Amino acid sequence: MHGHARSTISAPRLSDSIAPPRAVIDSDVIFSRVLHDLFGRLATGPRLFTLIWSEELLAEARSALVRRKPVSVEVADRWVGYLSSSFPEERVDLARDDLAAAASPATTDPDDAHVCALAIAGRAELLITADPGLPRRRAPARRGNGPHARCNPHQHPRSTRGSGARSPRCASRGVGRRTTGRGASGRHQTRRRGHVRGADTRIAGHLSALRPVPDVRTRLWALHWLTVVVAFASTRRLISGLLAAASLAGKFFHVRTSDVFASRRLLAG
Amino acid sequence: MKTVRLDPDRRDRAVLVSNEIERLLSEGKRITVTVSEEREFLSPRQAADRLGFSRQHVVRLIAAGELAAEKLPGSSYWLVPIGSILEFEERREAARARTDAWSRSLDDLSAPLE
Repeated sequence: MHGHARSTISAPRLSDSIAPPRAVIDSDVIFSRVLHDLFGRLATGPRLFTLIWSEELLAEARSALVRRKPVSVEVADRWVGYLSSSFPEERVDLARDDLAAAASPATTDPDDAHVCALAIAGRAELLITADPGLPRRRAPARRGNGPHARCNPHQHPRSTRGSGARSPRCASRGVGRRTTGRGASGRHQTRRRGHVRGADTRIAGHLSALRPVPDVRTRLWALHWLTVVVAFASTRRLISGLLAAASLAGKFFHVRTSDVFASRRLLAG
Repeated sequence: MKTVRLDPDRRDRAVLVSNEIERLLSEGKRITVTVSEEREFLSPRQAADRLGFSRQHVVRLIAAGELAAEKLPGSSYWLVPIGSILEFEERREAARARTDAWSRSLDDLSAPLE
């Protein structure tokens, strides 16, 4: 009975209250109707996660839609109104402090500050985005002496955009090229530069619990088209198509619920 | 498959059941009628099969309070009453209908899928 190999990471106890993880979908995910629909269904149906949102996020998505798609303001309102109507309780009101606090450690792009601020203020554990400029990897687990935050280690040269010329990131072109251009050496570099010591404890703590998805860009793109194909191939079976894609999404996005739920322990600890 | 929930205060809804049975029989269909007490318990495994989830996900939903379940005193096994599964299915169905309505309204406004 004794002497069995024991895992150092134990599963959450049943007595722990574990709500579905809170997740942020970035405006580029909202921008794609297929992905927006998919993540909405995953959140409301099987309750894989809870989507949180802020007025800033919706405003950004709305203006991107009007600018880049042939839709009227009315349609864009309806489009982005899904989050607010499906998750009325999950609105996060961002204070000026939140925005300022997220701006420096979490991202170099001032336009992304509100997304990071939403994730931090809303205690999100998942950030679903196609933007390589956002924090990419989970920080190593905190060990006793002080916070180790992995705050935007990924300073991708192409991801620095002027605030005016911002485009919805999901819709930008050259996706494959960008991703293949980032090799193992870049990743290694990222790892070396990854620690920001002495950052605000609150941000450090939350960012370490935040689980951005590695190399999401190509995967998001692949899933996107896969979903489109599945949806179109069987319009009548749209929902089952989406659910099939959703099971793939588990692999693509690493939203394996076991991981997610295990990561909650970071928040609790 | 249709599920009708009845309680002593709403006995009149039993008519819905007999009407539906009549309708299907008059169409010459073979039917199965299952009657269960809402406090009849399923194991998390059975609940998972019914909801199309993994057993672990059902346990998580129980822990999160999304699915009402109980334990016998001193036991570590969850018992999931049929009623709470039906409630969850109703919520899920309502959410699905809401998302469908949203998607349809965007179609009506001829919003592009891409």
